[in-house]
Amino acid sequence: MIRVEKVSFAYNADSDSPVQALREVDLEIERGQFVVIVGHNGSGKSTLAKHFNALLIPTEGNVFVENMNTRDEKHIWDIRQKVGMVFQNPDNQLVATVVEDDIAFGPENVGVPPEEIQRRVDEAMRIMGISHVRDKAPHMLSGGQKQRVAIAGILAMQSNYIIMDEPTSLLDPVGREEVMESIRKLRREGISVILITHFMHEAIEADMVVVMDEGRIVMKGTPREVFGRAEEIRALSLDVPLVTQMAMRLNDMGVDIPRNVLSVEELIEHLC
Amino acid sequence: MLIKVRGLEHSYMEGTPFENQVLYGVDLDIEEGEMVGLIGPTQSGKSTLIQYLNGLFIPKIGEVVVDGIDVREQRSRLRKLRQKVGLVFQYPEHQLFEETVGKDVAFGPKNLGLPEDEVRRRVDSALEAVGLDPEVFRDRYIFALSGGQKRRVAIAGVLALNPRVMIFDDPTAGLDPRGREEILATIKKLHSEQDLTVIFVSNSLEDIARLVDRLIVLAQGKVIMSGTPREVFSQVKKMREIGMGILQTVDVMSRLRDRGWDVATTALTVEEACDEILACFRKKASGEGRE
Repeated sequence: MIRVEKVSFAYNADSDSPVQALREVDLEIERGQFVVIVGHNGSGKSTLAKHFNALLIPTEGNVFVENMNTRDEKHIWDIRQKVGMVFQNPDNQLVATVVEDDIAFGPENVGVPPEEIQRRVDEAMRIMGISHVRDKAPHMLSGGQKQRVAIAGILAMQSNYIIMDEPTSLLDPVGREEVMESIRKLRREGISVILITHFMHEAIEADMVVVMDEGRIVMKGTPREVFGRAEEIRALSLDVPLVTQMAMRLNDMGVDIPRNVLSVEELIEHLC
Repeated sequence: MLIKVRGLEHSYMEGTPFENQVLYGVDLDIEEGEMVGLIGPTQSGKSTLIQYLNGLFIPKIGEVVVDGIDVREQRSRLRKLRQKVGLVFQYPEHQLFEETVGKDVAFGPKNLGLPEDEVRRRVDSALEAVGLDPEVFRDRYIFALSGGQKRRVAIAGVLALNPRVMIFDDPTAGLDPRGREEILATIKKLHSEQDLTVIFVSNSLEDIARLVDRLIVLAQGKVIMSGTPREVFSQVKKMREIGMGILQTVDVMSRLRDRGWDVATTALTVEEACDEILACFRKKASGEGRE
């Protein structure tokens, strides 16, 4: 479990002009959960995510990763092994000239024996469905494939939690779907995914949606609970998924349909 | 014809074992005043193509003519061309480097050697055009702006060069829904009020459906479709094949149609889709009433 307890954080905390980015955040993320964090630009999402693997240490409060406090420097490498991170731009995080080597980079660096590395790399490629491009140069791959390579690299580290910071924002629609499918696979492997996104429809399969504003968590619940409160969501300069917008509009027009429909399939079932 | 592209090919790392051809004979025409969307899966060649349109690449195979300037024949006029065609890259705010909004927007026109008062006039009108009041924003520090505001400052910087064509490469990437709306509204306004020809490259089918008059679809280095958003998005099978997917509203309508509903499948917006569904409900209800 990742446990965030009354965490506040300010950039340049020691200077004359600190910038308060998190205010008394409490959050618990269980092993295997799929959590989506949404909020407008500057709401504190990425700052919070960087606390999960000790890239940032709270100004006040504590973050525990499987009971290890991120303040405790002797745990820092254990924590970073357990909590991996995928960024927005896949080109900035692939380091090797061949896919397979890129995935092996992490375990090699922490001194995993070669046979074990090969086993992990094979397994990671199998899960991510990229075994057929193992000999390719990463820059020749599509955006979605690149992100899958990045995720495979984290799998090879045997992380239990993967943070994804807007992993789909530079991808085409099919690349986005590849990433969403990867998230489903990770869940089946029992790995937690913490996804930061501006695309609300990517949140509809989450166990928990966390909405941030001004460094605070202002809403938290299942997608159905959160997106059912469309007025509040809009007041935070966010939106509800397109399908939910359709359901709400139809409901306003007098059609007998619930206002918190999330998926296309569900919408069709309600209408037919 | 403002922009004409014929038989354009491009390879990266030509003549090396890593040679990678990305454009395979692109033909393209864009008229003055059009608002054109350019879409295609990653690696379809979109970003390469737009770099030809303002002379960052010079064609080796094929022809690019912009406002009468043949890019290959008239290299001395490249500077002129780059002024005519403003290119707003992905994440343009990363290229802001001055301290204040006014200084950053002034950088381009100053480099053109324009007199001080003309620079100031251009800065103010560019800021106004992107919806930032010059009186309020001219002396603001860049770092104090929101993501959407920074992006608009970057657009103003290109606009201050008085281009006739503006190319936007994925201008809404990474913005929250409100920031996205702001940028789309800005682009729409530039097109209608500044008489600009706009080329809009995007991965968001929803954004593009609402904004453009015509869509050009690029796949594997070729133009494979061109038409109104309604024409293009009705090609459900083709769009899926090339890996662009389809609009969610079109997805809903096609599935209803599969279930025997008499609905048009090319709804481009939520409003349109809902009206169509409601009309179908009413038709059904009145049909049942008669029986």
